[in-house]
Order: sequence, then C-alpha cells, then structure tokens
Amino acid sequence: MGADAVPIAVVTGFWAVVGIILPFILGKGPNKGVIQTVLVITAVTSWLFWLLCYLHQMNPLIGPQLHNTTILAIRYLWDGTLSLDDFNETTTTNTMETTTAAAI
Amino acid sequence: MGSLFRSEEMALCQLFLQSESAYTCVSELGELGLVQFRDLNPDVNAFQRKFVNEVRRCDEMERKLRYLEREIRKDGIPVLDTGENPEAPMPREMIDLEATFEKLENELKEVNSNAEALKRNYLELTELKHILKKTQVFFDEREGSLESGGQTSLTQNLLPEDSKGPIQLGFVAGVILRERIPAFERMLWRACRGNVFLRQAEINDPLEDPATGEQVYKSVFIIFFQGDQLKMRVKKICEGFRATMYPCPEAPADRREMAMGVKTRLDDLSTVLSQTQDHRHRVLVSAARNIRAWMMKVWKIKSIYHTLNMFNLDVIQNGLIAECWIPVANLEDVQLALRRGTEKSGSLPAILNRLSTHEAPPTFHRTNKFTKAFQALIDAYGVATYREINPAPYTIITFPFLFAIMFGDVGHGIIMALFGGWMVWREKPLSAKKTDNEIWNIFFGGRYIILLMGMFSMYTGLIYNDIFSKALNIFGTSWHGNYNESTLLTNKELTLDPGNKEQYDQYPYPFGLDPVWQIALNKINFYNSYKMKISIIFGIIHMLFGVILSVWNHRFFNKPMNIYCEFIPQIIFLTCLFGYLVLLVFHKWVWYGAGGADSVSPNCAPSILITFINMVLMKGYQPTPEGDPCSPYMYAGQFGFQRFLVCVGLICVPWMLIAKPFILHRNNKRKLMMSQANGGEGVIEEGGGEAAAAAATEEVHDMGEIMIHQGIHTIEYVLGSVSHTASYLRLWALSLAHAQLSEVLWQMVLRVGLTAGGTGGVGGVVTYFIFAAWASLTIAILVLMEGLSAFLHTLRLHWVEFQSKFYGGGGYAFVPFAFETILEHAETAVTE
Repeated sequence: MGADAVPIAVVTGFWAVVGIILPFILGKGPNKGVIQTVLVITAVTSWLFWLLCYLHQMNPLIGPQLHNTTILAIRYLWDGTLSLDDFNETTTTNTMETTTAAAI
Repeated sequence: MGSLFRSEEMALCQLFLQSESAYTCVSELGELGLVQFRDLNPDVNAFQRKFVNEVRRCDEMERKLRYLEREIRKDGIPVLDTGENPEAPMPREMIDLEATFEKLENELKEVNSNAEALKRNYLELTELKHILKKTQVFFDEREGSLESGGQTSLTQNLLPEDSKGPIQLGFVAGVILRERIPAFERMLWRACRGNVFLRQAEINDPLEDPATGEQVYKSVFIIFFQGDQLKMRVKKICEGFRATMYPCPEAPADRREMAMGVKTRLDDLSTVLSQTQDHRHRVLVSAARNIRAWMMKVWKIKSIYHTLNMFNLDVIQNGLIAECWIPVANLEDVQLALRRGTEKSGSLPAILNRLSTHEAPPTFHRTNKFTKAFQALIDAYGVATYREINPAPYTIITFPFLFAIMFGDVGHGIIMALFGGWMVWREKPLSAKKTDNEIWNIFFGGRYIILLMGMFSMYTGLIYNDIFSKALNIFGTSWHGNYNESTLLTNKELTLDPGNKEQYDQYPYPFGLDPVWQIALNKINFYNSYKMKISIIFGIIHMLFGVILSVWNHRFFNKPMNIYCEFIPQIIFLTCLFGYLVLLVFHKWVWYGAGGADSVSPNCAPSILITFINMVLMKGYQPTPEGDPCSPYMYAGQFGFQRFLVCVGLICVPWMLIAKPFILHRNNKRKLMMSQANGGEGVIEEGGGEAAAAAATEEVHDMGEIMIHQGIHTIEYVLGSVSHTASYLRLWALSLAHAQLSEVLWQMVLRVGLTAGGTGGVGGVVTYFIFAAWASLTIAILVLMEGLSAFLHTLRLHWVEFQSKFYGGGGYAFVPFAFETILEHAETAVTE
C-alpha cells in the first residue's frame, strides 16, 4: 500500500513529544493539570487530523481531473519537466496565456 | 485534580461578630473576596433594616461626589487615577468624609451662584455697552440729517410737514435674540400700524447666557415712536419677545458719560469674575486629586453596610450573626482576615463555625485570565451542578479545534491569530482602557479563545492545504501529468490515473492534502468524501469522550448503579453502531485502492453509507453476482458480524430502559420487608400497618416517576446518538462553504485585478484598488461573518452534542462579596 514511513514517523513523533513527553516533564504549578490536559488533547486532535488526511490519500480511488492547460502549467511550474522550447511559436504564446491564467 | 475539573468544595459557615468589630471584619472579608453571605432577613424590606441610615448617608455622599465629578468634568480638569485602592475607612471617619464633602459642595454651590450672578451682571453691562455704541450711530445719523435739513431721511419723513420745529420723538433701546428679530419687527409693524420706526444692528460677538452657559447671538434695536400710548404698546411687545430694555439717555454728553461708567464697571467686574473662576478652579483641582479615592471609599462603606444588613441581630450577646459560603481551601485565609478585622477594632474575636447542611452549595471554579473565557462559554449554557465534572478544561482545546475544522484556512487563521495575539500582547494597556463598547468587550474577553482559534485554523488550513483558496506545493505534489503533446492538444480535460506509476508516485503528499486537488476540476468530489468522513469520525470521538466523562460523575457521586445501568449500555450502543461506522471508514481507506487485485480496485469499493444503512435495517444476505469480481461486503464474515453488532446494540436499549427502575424497585421492596420485620417490636400492630401502606403508595408513585424519567433519558440518548452524529456533519458543510466562499471571492474579485491591464502599468493600478476590495471583503465576510457562524456552530456542538452526554448544569454560581467586583460594577455604571 502507498504509505511512506518517513512522514508518518516524523509527524507521529512530533505529536508524541507534545502529547506524551511534555506533560511529564512539566514543572509544578497550580495549573499543571489543566496544562497537561491541554497538551494531550492538542496532540491527539492534531495528530488524528493529520492522520485522517494521510489515510484518505493513501489509496486514492480517484485521480484529479485537470484542464490540459493546467497540466502544462503544473509541468512547467512544479515539475520542471517542460520547457518553453517544446512547443512551436503559436502554441507557446497561446498556452502561456492560458497557463498564466490557470496558475492565477 | 485541579479545581477546574470540578468545582471547589464549599462549606456553609456561621459567623458570630461583635457589633464593634463587625464592620472591620466585613471590610477585611471584602478585600479578600472569597465569602458569599446569605441574606438572613429576606422578608424584611430595605427600609426596615438595621443600617439603613448609614446606607442613606452613603447615598448622600455618593450624590455629592457625583455632583463634584460632573463639575470637574464640565471644566475639563483631568481626574487623577493613581490606581491605588484605599481601604474602607472606619465608621467614625465617615463623619469626617461627610463634613469634607458637605463643605466642598457648599463652597462649590456658593461659588457657582456667585459666578452666575456676576455673569448676569456682566452680560447686562456688555449689552448696555453695545447699545450705547450702536445707538450712537443712529443718533449721529439723525442729528446729521437734522443739521443738513434739506436732505430727506427716514426720520424726517415721520415728522408731520406742518409741525413747528422738531417734535420730540420717544425711543426705547434694548437687546433681543437675533433669530427673533423678523417676528419682532412684523409684530411691531402690525401692532403700531407702521407708526414706529425700528433700527437694529447685530452684535458681532456671541454673548454667554448665564443660565445655560451657551453662546447666543443678539442684536441691538432702537425704536422711535410718538406719544405715550405707542410707548406702552412698544414696551409690551418688547417684554413679550423677551427683549431686555436699557435706559439710554438722550443727550450725547450723558451717553458718553454713561459709556465711560459702564466701561469701568465692566473692567471691575471682569477682574472679580476671573477671581471667582480661579477660586472655583482651585477648589475643583484639589477635589479632582482625591475624588477617585473618595468614590472608592464611599462605595466600600456602602457595600459593607449592605452586607451588614443581611446579618441577624443577636440581642443577648450584642453581636451579629452571619451565614456564608466559603471554599474549604480558603477557610484559613478567612480566619486570618477575621483576626485582622478584630485586631483593628480591638474587640473580642469573631467566631467561625462550620454548619452541616443539606442545601446544595454554590458552584465555584477558580479560574485565571486564560481559563475564564472558556468557563464563561460553559456557564452561559448552565452553571455546573455542585462538584460535577466541568467540561471547561477539555473545551479549551476541543472548542478551537472543532472551530478550525470549519474555518480551516491558513490566511484567515493568520489574520485571526494576529488579532488575538495582539490583544493578548497589549493586554494590560487595553484592559486599563475601560470602554462600554459591547462588541469590543466581547472580543477582548475572548482574546485567548480567538488566539487559539486562529492558531488551530492555521494548522487545519495547512492540512486542507488552503490559503486564501490557493494551495502550497511545499513537499512536491505526487501527481504528474505526463501526457504526450497530441493527447494534451486533443483533450480539454484529462483525469490522472492513480494506478499509473507515471502519473501518481504511489505515496501520498506527506503533510495535508495534495496541492493538485486545489486546481482539480473534481476537487469537490474529493473534498466532500474526505470532509464528511472526518466530520463523522471526530463527532463520534467527541461524543464517546463525553459519555466516558460521565463515568467520573457516577463514581464521584457514588452511584455505581448508573455505571452498570446507564454508562455501559450507552457506550456499547454507541460503539456497536457508530464506532463500527468509523472502523468501516478506516477499513475502506486501507483496503481499497488502485493498483491491487480486482476485488479491491476503486470500482469495487462499496459505499459506506449504503453498507451502514443496510446493516441497521437488517437487510438479508446479498450474494456476489456470478463473474463479478466485486463483492458487496468488505471482508469475510461481515454479514454475520454486523448482525451481531446490531443485536447487541438493540439489547442495550431495554437495558438502559428497564434495568435501573427494576433494581430500584427490588431494593425498595427488600427495604420494606426489612422494616416490616423489624417494625413488630414495641409498635402497635395497626399503626405499623398504616405506615407501611403509606410507604408503599409513596413508593408506587416514585416508581412511576422513575420509569418515566428513565424512559425519557433512554429515548433521548438513543435518538440523540443518531441525530447528534448527523449533527456533526455541520463540520463538513461549514468547512466546504467556507472554502467555496473563499474561492469565489478570489475568482470574482482579486482575479479581475490580477488579469487586468495586460503588460502596461494599468494593471498595477487596477490591482491596487481591487486588492483593497478583496481584502476588506475577506475580513468582513470570511473572517468576521464566517468566523462568527463557525463559532456559533462550535458552541452548539459543545452545548448540545457533547455536554448532553454527562453535564447536568443545575447549579448556581458562587458570588463572593468582593470589593474588586463591586468597584468594577460601580465604575462601569459611572462611565455609562
């Protein structure tokens, strides 16, 4: 299945520190109980929120439906797999206009 | 556990105070602010109480101080607020204070009346001066025309042609308000049939009206007429128009002399007047220095006497008896305060006795500036029953979190967090600035909530990958459109295939939603399925959490029966039906996907909603059609397992409904038998039987009530589980609406500016204005209005869906007698 260990470990580790380790090393004070509660609930909700998002994308059932111009824009701006020379003069100007429009 | 998790333990105490030390003791307790006194004479009206005289004297002092303050404000003298908090003065000092205020008030009144008389005098003289000056012009004209003779002037036309020598004309001079002139003139004309001659001149400088202190514009007039009859008539009209008439000598020499006299008198008067003003100013300045402290002292004395009025009189020991609620943790502090109070007055010590009572004590949560606002959210629904679980500490995070699910946008979150952060950062100066602007006070009171809501919105916004409806591609998208040129040119829309390794990296975007979805055409489909699922999951977790919290209530109040007969069936019911729904969601996420076997391919993924509905409706087994790789079931044995879960869930309903009344009934019966068995000894047979019969009827009555109560409770819970789960879908709906609105605003407004003008500089100018529109709409609609709506929905989710699972909310708040709150109230009342 399409899970990657690194992000899961990093995010889970971060929220584990907040939700499990921090409440223990907290200094004494009249509000200790409340602060512990706050930290634990923050960590649980935030981690779960991230996890649900990750799980939802882990095995995508549908793929994104994109305009052809948007695909060009993605390849040009994000992937860098497209250079402007790949197209002839007219298409380039046409696409560039629509590409900028789509990017905006 | 800290006190925020449960309200503080309270003790009802009786307080014996010596009459000499009662005042000082109550004063000390007021400074401490941890004691709530009970009114022991509720049927005695306010005028029959013991210290009504003192209260009245305080009211009188307050009135005088108010008068002083008004005068100070009128003169624009700044009131010194040193922020010091003077102690309540001793009762004997009250006389001094009274004397001081009396003296000040009298002095001020005298100065004011003097000043008024002087001003009136001054005004008259100024008017006279103006009259002399202006009429001089008229007289000069007249004399000039008389001398030149041949010229025809208006004055001359009045004279009869055949007269011998100039006829003596009478005249009246005076001053009138300028706006009355036209009516005055018309009236004169009509009443005297045109036989009078009016001249008027405006006085350019405004004059001060001594009664109201306002600036008014007036005019000088002079009326010429002939004969006594006309004179009477003219005078009447003048009086009617409130014109002031002044004697004006006819001879030029007399006039000149009079003008000189008026001038010297005016000079004298103005020096006297300025000295009076100086004196008034001095008095007010010295009063302004002390008025804050005086006010506080008077408020304190008044509140002390109000409190003393609630006490009972102990006639024999010449003392006062009070009853009060005190937090058990603060009994020591109260004792110390009482000792300080008695030492001050040097009388016998006060005695504090704890009473045992069956009365429900007040609910007291010790909050700080951070937790106060969250506690206020809970108290707005209902003050917690004494010592029950307080939802506030959990609400601190769950509230901003649920809010943020609906408000998830990094940009809007930053704006909100900055606003909240600014209020927190400038807390002291902002709170010192007291205003009666209600909206601002609400925002400022909730500054920590706003800050947390903003911060959580930033986090959820990062997960939604949504910043002003745009996405951030931080980690690199997992989707690539590797199509060749011809495909791209011939197809307008293309759908990427998750099974294709060229197009999907086979592992998801590591943090949050993939940025490609923000620009996808089918993003709504994707978002809907995602947001609906997380809404349900968080909703069910939230409700489960609420049900679990009820255990602590049952254990604390020592009601094990409630655990067995309510909590356990409740939690089983919820997990068997809705907990299982969550499991199904997780299963579908993990199990189905592109690139695997046919039976788990995207086409075969069943709808969870349909599956769940079939399960609850107990639909029969559906076999897989021949040759179809897709099964309607998601795992082996699903049908049987679901049947089992539904049955267990259904069993829980009668369990909740009947178990508790049944056990109560049995216990009662057993008790009755015991009492009957024991009742035989030493009691007359018949009497015992009657008592038992009475008890039995009472018990039957009770049983009916218990049954009804339990029935309502059960129905509420079972139906509530369904409707509350559905209610959490508002998280999805509002979140979607927010994202859509934000996108529409970008597309319809800001995009117009960004695409305007082509390559020239015009685009920049257009964008400048368009951006202003977009920014203000973003703040007004997306942050303020959407924020308010999401806030209210979050509030509802907490009050109804969460708290209904464990919270009673049948208590009353602890309102201690504290000078701090009394002064605050009094001050806001003054500023209003």
